[in-house]
Amino acid sequence: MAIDTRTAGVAWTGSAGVLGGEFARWFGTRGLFHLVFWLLMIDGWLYFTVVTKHMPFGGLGYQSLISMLLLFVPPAAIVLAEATVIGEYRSGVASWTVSKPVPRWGYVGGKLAGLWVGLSVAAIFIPGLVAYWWLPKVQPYRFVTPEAPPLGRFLIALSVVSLIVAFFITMTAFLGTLIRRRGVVALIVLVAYFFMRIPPRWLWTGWDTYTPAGLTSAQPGAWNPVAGFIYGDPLGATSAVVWTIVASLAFAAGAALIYQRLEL
Amino acid sequence: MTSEATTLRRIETVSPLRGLGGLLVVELRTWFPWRVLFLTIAGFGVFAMNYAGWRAGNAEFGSLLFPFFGLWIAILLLSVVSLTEGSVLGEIERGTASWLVAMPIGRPAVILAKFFAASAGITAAVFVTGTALYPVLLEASGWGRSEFRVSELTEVTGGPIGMWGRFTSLVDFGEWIELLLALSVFLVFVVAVMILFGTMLRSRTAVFGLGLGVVGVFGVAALAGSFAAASPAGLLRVIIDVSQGRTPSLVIPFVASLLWTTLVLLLAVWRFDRKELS
Amino acid sequence: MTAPAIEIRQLRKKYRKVEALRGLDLEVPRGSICGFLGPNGAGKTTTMKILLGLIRPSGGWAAVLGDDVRTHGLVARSRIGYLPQDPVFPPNRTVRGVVAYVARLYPGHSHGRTLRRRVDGLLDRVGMADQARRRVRGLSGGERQRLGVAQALIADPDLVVMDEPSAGLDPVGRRDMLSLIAEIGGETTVFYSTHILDDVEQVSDTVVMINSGRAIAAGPLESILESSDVDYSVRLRGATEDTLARLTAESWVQNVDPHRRGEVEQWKVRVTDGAAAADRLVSTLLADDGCDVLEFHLSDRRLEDAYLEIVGADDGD
Repeated sequence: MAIDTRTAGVAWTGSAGVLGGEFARWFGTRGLFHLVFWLLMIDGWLYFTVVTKHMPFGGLGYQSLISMLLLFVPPAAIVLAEATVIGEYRSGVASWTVSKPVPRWGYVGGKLAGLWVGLSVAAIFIPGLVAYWWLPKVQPYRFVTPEAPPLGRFLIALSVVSLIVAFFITMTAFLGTLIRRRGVVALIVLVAYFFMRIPPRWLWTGWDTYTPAGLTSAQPGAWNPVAGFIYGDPLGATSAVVWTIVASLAFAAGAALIYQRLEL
Repeated sequence: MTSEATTLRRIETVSPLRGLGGLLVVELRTWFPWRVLFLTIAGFGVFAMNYAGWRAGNAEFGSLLFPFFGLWIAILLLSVVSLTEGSVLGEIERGTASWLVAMPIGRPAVILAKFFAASAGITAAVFVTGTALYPVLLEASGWGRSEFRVSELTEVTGGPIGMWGRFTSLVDFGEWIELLLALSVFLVFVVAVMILFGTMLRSRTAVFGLGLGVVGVFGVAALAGSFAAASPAGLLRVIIDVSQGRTPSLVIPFVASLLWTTLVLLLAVWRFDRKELS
Repeated sequence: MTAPAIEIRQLRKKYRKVEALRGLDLEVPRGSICGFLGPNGAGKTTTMKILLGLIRPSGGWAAVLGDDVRTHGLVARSRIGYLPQDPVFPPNRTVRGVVAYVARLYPGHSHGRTLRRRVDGLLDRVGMADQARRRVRGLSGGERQRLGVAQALIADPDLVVMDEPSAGLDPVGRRDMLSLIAEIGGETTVFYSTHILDDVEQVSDTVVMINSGRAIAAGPLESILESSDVDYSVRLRGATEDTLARLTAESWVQNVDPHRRGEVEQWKVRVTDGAAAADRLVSTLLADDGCDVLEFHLSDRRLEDAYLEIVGADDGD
């Protein structure tokens, strides 16, 4: 298909429309729901863990925050991504949307980008920054009051978490365009997420280098690299960051390519 | 024009369980053989992966048993939630729920058929996997030490699951069956919860998310202890206790879980009975 | 020369072993209201989906307003408004939200208050103004159809494609949909598929008939309805057997199609010689004292007759 200026112009408008539509949803009821939900889930749970006596293992402030973000947000991203990609395909909304002057890659990209940005803001950055504010002000039950880390490092750490979420969103989208069965795709990606948390290092030494496992899981006796980075540890898993970005882009491109061929 | 041979008999009332047999057969075909096979193979796969690592690393039996069991439980929980999230809402979205209840089939039968079929499939997968693996675990337990320290556990797993405590080697078949039973009953409870959410909510995403949330809450409750005994979390507590060499009573958690499951199921039946299927 | 609104040449579509389209040729002139008729499974929806880029053809060529749907599909779609069969919209959006969202997908769309006024005006036109803030999830079938028309028109399309627009509507809904189609037809080209032949007769000026994946008739409605055959409609009461036998024996009578309702018989008499029928039909009917003629008139040839004839002949081939 020749790309001419007319087509390019139409493609841009259609794609921007889809992306804008997704962003608009995050400013409405959906966004409000997610904001409240994630503030309770992350900050509420963090408070429960750090300040109260009910948890047997206590919480270590900012490191626990990062662990919670890594524990809760990716599964939610997987579930939302499969609802977006597979749910809209099965219901016919996808067919209706691409019957408009919207390129299929624009539809897939717009949906995924909208979900990633919206979820990152509502589930990672806002709850993270709220926790950044109140953690130094409380008296933890088991440990000393945590000192606020440098804001720059903290934001970088949140960005890495967001990157990991992007990996799982795009992986779900890719498998969703291939398999198109909601429960099955969600299960595969959730199991993959699980193995990122508990990596079989003994099976393949490259697991930590080439997958987000190098960012989400800890070496024995240590916090995971993202949590450690907050207080000055080098982000030793830089290659994992690079490969996570590469994999995310590859999954997104794969999803768009497969969607191009689908009959709707 | 009527024929003598085909006089229609008027049905005055429809029993709530009318059609249960036929629906159960259909639902069982959904689970057997492929879903059960998948769950069984997943269990074997997890074990094989852990076994390979265990043989390559240290010879502590706990280094094999606990990571396997922890991973296996987690994958079973994820699988149950994933495979049941669309069981009610999927039918409603496709229109087959309306089609079914427009026939002389009791609405409770629709829910109960789904529940019993899923429960049978999941229980079968747990027991087939567990029973098949027991001889292997028995054999492997003789190759290492019989005790196991928390630090070694953390070394293997890292993260929250490492907090679940010590593991001693299991050689008692009765205890192993207790573990499998506790796991199965807990999973059956999760099935009931997922079906209930399917009758209450309109979004499959919400059903999925809440299902994972419930699993998480009961997992934490099992750790907290006090709430555990009177709820299905008590079954997870039993798993932890047995694995630590204690001999807890299965009766109270088992009965409590059955009561909870029955309550949740009755709620699901009641909700579906009143649900408008348009 | 201005390209036709739709131009299709030898279009083919094969799904594994099933050939949905087998060399379809058709042309829809600009500014017309074209009814796309065919039995179930003839290939109507497949044709429309190919025009909209939702499925790929196995062979052949199609263009919309001069743009090839394969190479310039996006540009083509930027000038089309589409109402699918059983329209599905994002369930959590409001009625107004759906139309505004669609508007933003098209190039050159308005913004802000201008867009909102345009959306509200369109909702008012389709009778959905009071439902503007309602979520799509709770709409009835007829309301979805009306919303579907609104979202199809929001971008001022040069071509409106509708797949069975009046299917599932009650008589009032159908009437409203037809007048909307007639109204739209004054502004743009309309290409719609339907089973309801009455609808086509009421609003269309062009007809395309498709059967088994091929066009079997196409052209202005009047030319489709033209026929050398003439039909008379007769209502009788009493002993009609002898009259029927006598009439059927006449050389200028092709066939008589009788239906009984209680005591009254309704006959459709098809004649091959209009002049002979005009001269002798009445006398033939009145020849028998035992039979009373209650009503007698010349029937207008209906599209249904032409359709059944054409499709029947095609199936016979």
